[in-house]
Amino acid sequence: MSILYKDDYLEKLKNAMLFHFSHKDILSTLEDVSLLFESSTADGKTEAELCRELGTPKEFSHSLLSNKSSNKFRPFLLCIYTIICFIMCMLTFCYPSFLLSIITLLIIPISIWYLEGSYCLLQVRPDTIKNYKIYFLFSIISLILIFIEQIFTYLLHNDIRISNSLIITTFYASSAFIIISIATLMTAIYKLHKGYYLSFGILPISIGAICSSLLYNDYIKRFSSPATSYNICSLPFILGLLMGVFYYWNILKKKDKKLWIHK
Amino acid sequence: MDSQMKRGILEMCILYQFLSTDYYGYDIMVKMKRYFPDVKDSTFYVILRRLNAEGYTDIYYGNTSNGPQRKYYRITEHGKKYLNTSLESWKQLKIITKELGIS
Repeated sequence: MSILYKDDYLEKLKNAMLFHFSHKDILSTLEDVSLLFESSTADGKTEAELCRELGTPKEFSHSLLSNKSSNKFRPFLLCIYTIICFIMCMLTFCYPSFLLSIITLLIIPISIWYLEGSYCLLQVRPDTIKNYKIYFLFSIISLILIFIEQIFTYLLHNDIRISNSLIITTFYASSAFIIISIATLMTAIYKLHKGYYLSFGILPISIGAICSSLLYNDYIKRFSSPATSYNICSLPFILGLLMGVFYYWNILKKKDKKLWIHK
Repeated sequence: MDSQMKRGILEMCILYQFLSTDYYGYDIMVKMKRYFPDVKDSTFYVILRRLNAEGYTDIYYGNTSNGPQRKYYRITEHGKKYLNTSLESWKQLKIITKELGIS
């Protein structure tokens, strides 16, 4: 085992606990372990010594997990939760209604926020980005789901009629604006001038896909040529996709910048 | 030793320590480590956490004059009842094993 220090240990422990424990449990454990470090340092022990005595972060997490058997199914439950979110999106895209759009409007950002670990903010050093492959995995899964949704929408053709697409799009755009505003405010509060949020990469892609779907459904109402509408209506999605890819590319490229998650 | 049995014994030992005085996490770990050197600190922590979750202990924060903030654990009435039950079981187990010629 390589020598670990407090910050590394807490970070690795947090990673090991993510998707297995509630956010409340993760927070309280990190707080407790942090207090242990402070007490042991005051007692003359080095951080490396305590890390050795605590066991590896994975072992620590497993000890906690063995004590909470019900949480072993947490990753599985999260997958079910993701599928439910996807079904909600599909329903909204294919059979839009004002109520459904509001429900989905709440579910999409909350699910992304929840899957990323939700409410607390912790710094992630760029060199430890490899530990966060799980987020990229979720982003890739979301991307694939959005692609499937797009194909599904195009296959539906004239059966879909949307009268309130402008309202729905406005709602999605507003929600995106609110999320970004809150994140910016939080960034300012925590003085994270160079911070990035992993989950934001998926946001322009999702909004692009939603706008594309809505545009397409409205467009084919007036014009019967699916081929033309396909090309024109794909533009928001392509634009969102490019923005999302650029966002992730920027994170990977600029190693000096801080990377943040909604932990 | 079977992990379940070990956990039960550790739980009883830790709770018993809380009868005499309140301990903060690191303090009780150091004390228990003297008697159970092979047990990882994480195991002690898990037990402390479980005792707290079950309501056998409660916590309060205390400050030392120069040192860091500390999270103290103290035994509750519920914890005392649980400890008494555990001690009774332990005594019965000792009698049974003695009668069986073990020990």
